[in-house]
Amino acid sequence: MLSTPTLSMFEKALDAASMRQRAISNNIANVDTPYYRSQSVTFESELQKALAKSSTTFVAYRTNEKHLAFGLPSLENIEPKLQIDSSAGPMQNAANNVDLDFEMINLARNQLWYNALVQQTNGQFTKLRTIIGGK
Amino acid sequence: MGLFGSFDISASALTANRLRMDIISSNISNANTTRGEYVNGQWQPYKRKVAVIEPKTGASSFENFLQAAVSRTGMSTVNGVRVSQIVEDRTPPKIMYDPTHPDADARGYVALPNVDMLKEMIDLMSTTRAYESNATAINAAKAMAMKALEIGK
Repeated sequence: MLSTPTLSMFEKALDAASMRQRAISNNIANVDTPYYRSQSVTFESELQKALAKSSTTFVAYRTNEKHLAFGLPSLENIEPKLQIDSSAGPMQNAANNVDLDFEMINLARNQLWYNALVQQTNGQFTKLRTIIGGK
Repeated sequence: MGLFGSFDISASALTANRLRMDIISSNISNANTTRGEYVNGQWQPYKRKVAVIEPKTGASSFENFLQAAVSRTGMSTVNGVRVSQIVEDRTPPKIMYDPTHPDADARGYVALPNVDMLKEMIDLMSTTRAYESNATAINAAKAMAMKALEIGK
């Protein structure tokens, strides 16, 4: 009863946020490193896509991860993914494409997003507690 | 590798930037040093030092291989940054005419270090900013970790 879909979704979103924090830390640490390619984490966009059509999709049932996947993935199968940005950087000349301003803004945004997720998770637990208490 | 990994990443960057700052200090303080090293019975001027930085990959350790295999999330092997080596700048020394200098050659010319003060100051500024950015990243990670402790309170 305690492992509701909502809670497991929050868990994944928190994982994605902490993974994104790692990616941003790496980008900031390597801001001057020649030939470094910036990293990013995709999760929310995939989730949006799955949520938008989750009621009407036809999804392949796979018994092996090598099977071809068709249809949209179900919500449980969406995992945060690390991506490496290979586009040419806007500002540096040593084949490095880290945009420090962008990273700092992402850092702040990710922090707020994480706080929001923690607050919502706590809200879920408060509701559960209310139900258990029965008052 | 959870949230604490990002502390290690930012800490490695703080270390690397501090070393870069030390090298810049060394360059600035030796901007006029004519006796950098003694080669073949002659004093050579100090040569400007440059830090070579590269992404730190922990690929060689067993733990990292295991981590990459277990987490199917495409965790990268980049784990911060490190100074791989310190090299000498090969530009020729600045030649100045000063017959009264004790290290002047027979024609009265002195070889001065190839340190460009303008370059060093700009490097110093960019290193300071990079250091500050990484300190900010550590604070953000710390705030997130503290917030995570509030789950289920």
